[in-house]
Amino acid sequence: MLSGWTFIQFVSAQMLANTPPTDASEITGLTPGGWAMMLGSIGLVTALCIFCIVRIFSESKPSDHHHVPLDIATDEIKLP
Amino acid sequence: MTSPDLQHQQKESWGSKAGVILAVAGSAVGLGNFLRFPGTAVNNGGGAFMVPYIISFLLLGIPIVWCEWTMGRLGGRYGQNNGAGILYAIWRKAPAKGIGALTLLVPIVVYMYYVLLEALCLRYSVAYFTGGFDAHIGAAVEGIAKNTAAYNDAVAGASVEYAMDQFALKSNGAMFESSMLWYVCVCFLVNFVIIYRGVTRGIETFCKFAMPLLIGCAIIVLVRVLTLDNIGTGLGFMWNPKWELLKNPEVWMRAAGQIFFSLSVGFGLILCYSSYLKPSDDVVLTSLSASSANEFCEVILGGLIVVPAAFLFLGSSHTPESTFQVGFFTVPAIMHLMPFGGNFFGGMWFGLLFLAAVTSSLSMLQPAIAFLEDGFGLRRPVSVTLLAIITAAGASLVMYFSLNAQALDFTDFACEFMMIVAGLAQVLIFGWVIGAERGVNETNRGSDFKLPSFMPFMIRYLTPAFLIIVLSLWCYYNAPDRLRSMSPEYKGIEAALVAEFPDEFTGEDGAKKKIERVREIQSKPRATKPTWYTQPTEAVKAKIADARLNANIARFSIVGVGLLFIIITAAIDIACRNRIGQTIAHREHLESLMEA
Repeated sequence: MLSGWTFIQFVSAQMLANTPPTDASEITGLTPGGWAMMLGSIGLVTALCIFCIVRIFSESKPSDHHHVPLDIATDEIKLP
Repeated sequence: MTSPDLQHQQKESWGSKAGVILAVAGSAVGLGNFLRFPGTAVNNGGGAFMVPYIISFLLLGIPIVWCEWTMGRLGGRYGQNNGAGILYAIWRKAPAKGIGALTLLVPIVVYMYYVLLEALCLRYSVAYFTGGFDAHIGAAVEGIAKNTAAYNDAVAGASVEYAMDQFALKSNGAMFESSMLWYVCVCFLVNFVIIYRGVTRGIETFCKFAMPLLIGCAIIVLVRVLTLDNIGTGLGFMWNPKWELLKNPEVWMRAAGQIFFSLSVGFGLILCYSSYLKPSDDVVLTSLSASSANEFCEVILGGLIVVPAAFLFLGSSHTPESTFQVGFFTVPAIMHLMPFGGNFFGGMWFGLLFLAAVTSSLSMLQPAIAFLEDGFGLRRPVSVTLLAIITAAGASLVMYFSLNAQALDFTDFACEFMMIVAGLAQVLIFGWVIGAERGVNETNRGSDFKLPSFMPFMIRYLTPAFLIIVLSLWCYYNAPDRLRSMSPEYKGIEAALVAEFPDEFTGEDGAKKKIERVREIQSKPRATKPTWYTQPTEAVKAKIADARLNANIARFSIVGVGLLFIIITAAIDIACRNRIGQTIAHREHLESLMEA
C-alpha cells in the first residue's frame, strides 16, 4: 500500500539521516554536569532500593497471626 | 437469585512479601522502562530530565501508589479483588461504577495490543538465537565494507525493514499471513496458562523466577554496553544536561507522564494486586519496594543501555521518542553492530523484554478475571476462557489493522487518556471520599514506618492539582493532532498536499504551515477546492484513499473503546446490584457483629 511506502520512506529518511545535530558532534564524553546527573540519579535509586531491602529484612516478625475480624468467617451468618 | 456461597469461598492471597513485591514490580517493569524512558529522557533534556522526573516521582508517583495500595487492601477486606468492586465498596455511588469500568477497561484494551509487542520480543529473541535476524541483515549489507558509516546505515535500514515486515506495517491483514500469528498464539497460551493457575501458584511463582532472571540478563547486557570502546560519548549524549529545556512545560508533562505510565498507576492493576494482601500487611514498605525495583530497572538499566549504545553505533539521529521505534528499529541494529557476541546479547535482550512483557501482561489480565469471578461467580476455567475470547477478538482487530500501526496507536492514545483520568479519580476518592487523614491512618495500619504528617495535605491538594495540570497539558499537546488524524477529509487533503508539494512542509514551521493550509482548503466549498485534490492523479488518489482509511481506522478504534466502556459499565452495574453488593453487605454485617 502506498501510505506504507510513504511511512517507510519517512522512517528510513529519519533513520538513515547520518548528519548529527550540531551539538551532537561536540559530545566527546560526560561533562561534569552529566556525571553529576548520572551518578546522582543512580545513587538516589540505589539508595532507595537498599533502604527498602534493609527495612524488609530488619522488619519485625510479620503480623500474620493477628487476625482481624474480617478474616474470620463464621457459619452463623446467613446471606441477605 | 442464587446466593453466593461466601462462607466457603476460598480467598486467594499472596504467599510471601517477596512474592508480592516481585509481582507488582513485574507488572510495572515492562517495555516502557527499557525503551520508552531512555527515548523520552534524551529528547527532553538528557540529565536535566531527571529533575522533573524525580519531582514527579515524589509528588505524583509515590502518593498515588500509596493511595492505590491502601484502597486495594481495603477492598480486599470486602471480598473484592477487582477495581470496580473495590471502588464500589469504598464509594457506593454511581460514578464509582464508571471509574471502576476504567480500571477494568484499560488493562483489557492495553493487553489487546501489548500482547503483539510481547510476541514481537519473542520473535526477535528467537531470530537472534537461531541466526534468522543475522541472515536478513547479512543479505542487506552484502558487498558493503564493515566498520564504515555506509555499513552501519545499511544495517539500520535493514533493521527498520525487518521490523516493518514482522509487524506488517505496510498493509492491513498481512500479520495473519506471517509467522507472527504463531508467536501471538504462543504468548496467549503462556499468559493464560499462568493466569489459570491463580495468584499464588501462577503469577507469584512466575514472577519469582522471571524478575531475577530479567534483572540478571539486563545486568549482563549492561556490562557489555559499558565495556564498549568510547562508551563515554554515548553516556554523554544520554546524560549531559540541557538545562534550558526545563523552561519548556512539555518536558515537565513528559516527565510526569513517564512516571505515571511507568509505575502502572491508574490502571487498576495495583488495586487488584494489593487486594490479595492480608488486612494487616504493610502497604507502605511493600509498595515503596516495588516502586524502587521499577525505578532501578528504568533509571539504571534503561538509562544506561539503549541510548548510549545507539549513539555510539548510529549517531544522534537514531534515538526517536517512540517506544516502538527505539525498541524495534534502533535496538536490533545496535545489537547486530555490537562486536563480540552481538547475536547472543541481542537474543538475551529481547528475551528479557519478553519476560518483562509477560509479567506486565499477567497484571493486565488478572483484574478482569477477578471481576468475572467476584461479580458473576464464574469458576476459573469459565472466566479464563471468556477473557481469552474477548481479548483474542480485540487483538485480532489490532493485528488486522496493522497498516502504520494505526489501530494500535489510537487505542494506546485512548488508554493513556483514560489512565490519567482514572488515576485522578482514585486520588480524589482517597483524599475526599475516604478522607485524607482517615486514608493515611488506614495506610499506616501494619506498616513498618508511618507516612509523614504532610501526606494528607499532599494527597488532598498537591497531587490532584499536579495531576490536573498533567492532564490539561497532555490534552493540549496531544488532542489537536489526534482529532485532526480522525478526520478523513483532513487526512485526505493533507496526503494530497504533501504529494503535490513534497518539499514545502518540512521542519517544525513546515508542520504548522501545513496545518493552516489544510484547514484553509478544508473550509472551502468543494467547487473551489484545488484541482490537485478534487481531480487527483491515480497515484495521489491512492494516497488520499490510504489516508482516509487510516483516519477511519482511528475513528473505529476510539468508537470500539467507547463501546467496550459502555458494555463494561453495564456489567459492573449488574454485578454491583447483585453479587458484589451482596458480598460487601455480608462482609459489613460480619464486621459489625465482631465489633459488637
